Amino acid sequence: METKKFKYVYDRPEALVDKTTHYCPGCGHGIVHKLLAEVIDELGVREKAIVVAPVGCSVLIYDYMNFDGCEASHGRAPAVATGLKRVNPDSVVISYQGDGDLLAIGTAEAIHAANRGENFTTIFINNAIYGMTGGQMAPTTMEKQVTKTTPTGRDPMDVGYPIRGCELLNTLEAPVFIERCSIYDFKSTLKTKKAIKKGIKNQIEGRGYSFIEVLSTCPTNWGMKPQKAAEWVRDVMEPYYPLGNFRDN
Amino acid sequence: MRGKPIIDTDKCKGCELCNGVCPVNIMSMSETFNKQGVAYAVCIDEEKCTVCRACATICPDMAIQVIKYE
Amino acid sequence: MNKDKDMSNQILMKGNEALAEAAIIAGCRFYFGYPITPQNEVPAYMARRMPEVGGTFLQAESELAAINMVYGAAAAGARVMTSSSSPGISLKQEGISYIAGAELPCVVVNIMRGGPGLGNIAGSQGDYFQATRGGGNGDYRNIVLTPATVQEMADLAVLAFDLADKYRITVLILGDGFLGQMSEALTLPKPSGNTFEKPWALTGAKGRKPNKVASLRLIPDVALEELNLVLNEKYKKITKSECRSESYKTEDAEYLLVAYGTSSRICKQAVNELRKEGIKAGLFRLITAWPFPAEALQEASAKAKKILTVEMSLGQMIEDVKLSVKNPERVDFYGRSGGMLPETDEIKRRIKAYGN
Repeated sequence: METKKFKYVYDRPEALVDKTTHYCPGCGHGIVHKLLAEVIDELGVREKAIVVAPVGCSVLIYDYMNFDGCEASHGRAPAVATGLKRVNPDSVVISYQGDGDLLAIGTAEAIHAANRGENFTTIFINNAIYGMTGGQMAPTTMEKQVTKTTPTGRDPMDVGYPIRGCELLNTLEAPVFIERCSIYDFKSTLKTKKAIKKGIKNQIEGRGYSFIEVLSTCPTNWGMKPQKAAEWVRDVMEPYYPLGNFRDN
Repeated sequence: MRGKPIIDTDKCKGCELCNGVCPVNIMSMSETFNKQGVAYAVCIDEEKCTVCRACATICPDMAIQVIKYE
Repeated sequence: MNKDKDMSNQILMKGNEALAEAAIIAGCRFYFGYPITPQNEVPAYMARRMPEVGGTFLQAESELAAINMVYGAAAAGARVMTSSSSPGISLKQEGISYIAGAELPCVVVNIMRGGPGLGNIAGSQGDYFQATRGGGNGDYRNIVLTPATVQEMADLAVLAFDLADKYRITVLILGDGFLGQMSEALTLPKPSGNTFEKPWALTGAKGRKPNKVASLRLIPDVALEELNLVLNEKYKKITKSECRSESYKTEDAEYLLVAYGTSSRICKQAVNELRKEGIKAGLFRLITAWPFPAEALQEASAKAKKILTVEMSLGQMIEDVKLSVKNPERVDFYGRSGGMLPETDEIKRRIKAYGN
């Protein structure tokens, strides 16, 4: 029992439900959910927030966020978010998507919502694999990476090269904020939180479309322990997907 | 000591990420298992804690809170 | 039918545009659509009118995106509509299934064209199965309304929004290219005045627990069955209370035509001409295709020696007719497909042939 006086300098945000997640040990989703909840609390918008879930491991994100949540079919989150935000422009709508959701089946919806400059915030979790369905190739799977559907390693001659989402959206006029970050260590995680905060702030101020790509881990389907997975992000993913800000208007 | 991590040992999934980020290397894993059947995070030298909050920040499961003494 | 002899409040409008205007009258302030013939007048009309009433028109990047925008807007508690024609409605099936599972209210308009596939741009009734059997995955139903005149395109649009909100369901207005493109005089309907509370809508968790709009039910293992049982109860209720049809000269009809939409207009003409020749013909016209007005059809067909279903397809509604009537061996079929219209003379010829 503590006899000295103390205060909590790190505690559960109100926007994060006190519930053990179904995510694997070391999964990046747990970290990003937490950062999002902290930002929502710090900006005081929990009662206005609505998260649009992807189809993927984080399909149940609305069970972990202590605010309104909306399911979307695979890839359609930007369209659902558009509908939500157009009806209630005062709400804070977050579209939380994975690599298949955003860059495979949902590419059209992702590009067009960004192109229209819809005033919501997209958090794009890039872990170079389809986690929920057991580890198939994603549009962002690295060259030579072994997955369930690239058992001999991704061959760009057959299935193309990994797609860089930030750079793709950066060709559009409308988006006001595009940044790529990561959660492979403490410093990069703090930068991710900062980027998410800017993305939400932009929305509150009505400034337009913000896109935050987070290079994340899938220890289970990569076949690595979480710490090794974090190092793989730094050593293999980051050289191909450079971290940093692409646009900050 | 300046402060320390408070670990909810049953929430810990044993991912060991906190071990990797602690700048003063005072995070390790237990010898025994928790309710989830895994070795859980332990702080092995609370005196050295700098209250940087790296462990708590990286924990995907909100299993670590940090307190600072006044 | 027009209630007033006074023509002064009648205007001439195209079917597609009358429907759009009626949606606005019903309080629809969000429309998401995509161009496809023969319903292009709907998005064009909405693009002009929505801003005039402070609503939102958005041309989506595809019909698929449009139905998902509808999903989002409906989840936020708004009255919202999309429209398309057959191939575009195929694209929407995924979204419509999700809308059914999440119990969201919305209106979807299908101005049918010839199919399957790219087909052609003439009107047809080839999507009856798609509309009434679900179309998307899973055990669900949509309410399906089948207008036959420009007046009904408007009247049923107003009804659609009320039914959607009352039951938290998709109401599909099943028109066709002829109906959408023709101009007729109509009296614009008035708003119903009905309002519906939506405590489940995503309006922000202020002073309440968070709301969730979702069709996923993983835990416990019976959770999805429970949802399906809830939906099923809803569908039973709707089947009991929302059947609509018109029985035209059916009280003594020996030969009953069964049709809906544009083919019912041709049938009505045939009935009138046959009656002039002393043949006791009648028409049973669906106004709801789902729920199928089985009881009313049984009544209308009580005295009929022959029941001729007339469709702009090669036989879809006929299955519901056979399921509903006593002595289904009486049921026969006449149809044209690929955008061709059934002919009054052919209907008359067949009815007369039954008498021989």
